[in-house]
Amino acid sequence: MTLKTMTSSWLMQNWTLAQTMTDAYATIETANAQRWVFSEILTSNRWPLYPTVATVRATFGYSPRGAVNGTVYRTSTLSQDPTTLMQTYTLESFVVYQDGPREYCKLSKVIRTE
Amino acid sequence: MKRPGENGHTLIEMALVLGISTMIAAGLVMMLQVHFNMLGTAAKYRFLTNDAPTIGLLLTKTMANADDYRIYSSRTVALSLTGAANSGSAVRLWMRQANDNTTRQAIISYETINGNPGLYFFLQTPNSGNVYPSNGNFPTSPSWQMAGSDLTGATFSNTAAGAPVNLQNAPGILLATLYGANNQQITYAAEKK
Repeated sequence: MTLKTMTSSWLMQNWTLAQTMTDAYATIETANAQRWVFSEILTSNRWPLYPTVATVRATFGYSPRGAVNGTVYRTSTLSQDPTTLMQTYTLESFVVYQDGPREYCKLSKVIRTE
Repeated sequence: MKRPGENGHTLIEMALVLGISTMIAAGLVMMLQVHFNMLGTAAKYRFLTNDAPTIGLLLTKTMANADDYRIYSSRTVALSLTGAANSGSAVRLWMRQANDNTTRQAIISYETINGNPGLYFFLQTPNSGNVYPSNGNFPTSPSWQMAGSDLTGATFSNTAAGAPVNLQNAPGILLATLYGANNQQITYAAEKK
């Protein structure tokens, strides 16, 4: 019973930690997507056009056990209004953290219009 | 062995009861110790699991109300409005007021006040006529404490590792790196309006 309680507690703590870390990193992704200079969205290659996906390893933060590393997948789609020719990007960043068999994913999705 | 007419217990019975009692007590102590260890381990992570999400939310919401910001090495430097930097422990915010053309300012600073280290918020007070001056009128005592307890440090920055210089591709982002006990660290990004 004690072992079961310990395991549950440990898993719960890891879950909370993973949620906190991925949430925080998603704020960075969202902020960048919101504020990135529009004309440089494509040329920067930060969000390549789908189906191309940019994969980046990142440190989300540090816990008492050390660095918490994860992977960020970024991609985008571009659409153009046929009448006004106005361009619209959908910028997507998937913040993924792997903890043993468990995988946590947060999606930051920002729509930017010219 | 008991003889007829004798009361009480034999030595073997006593030894058996004492032995079992000791084993039960030891088991209980062990379980208690495991729980205390668990509490200790959980406490190590308290900053990341309990404090950081709240502080991050508070900071990002506060920043979202600001029209502009500057980073300074400390509140004293921020008050003097000179020496803006790319990173520091204080950030000065400018918030345009809805009803007129004035701008109210605030300073968020990580410092120690009355022996309590924490993240403090200093809100500018208006002059007579409800006008906010371009500088001054900041209280000497904080308007409120945003965070303390397990927060051991905070650095504001507009430069991210691996990002172009000063986040020039994405201006207006403020990165707040929060530090907790036991080498805990987490970074939130906030945007100005």
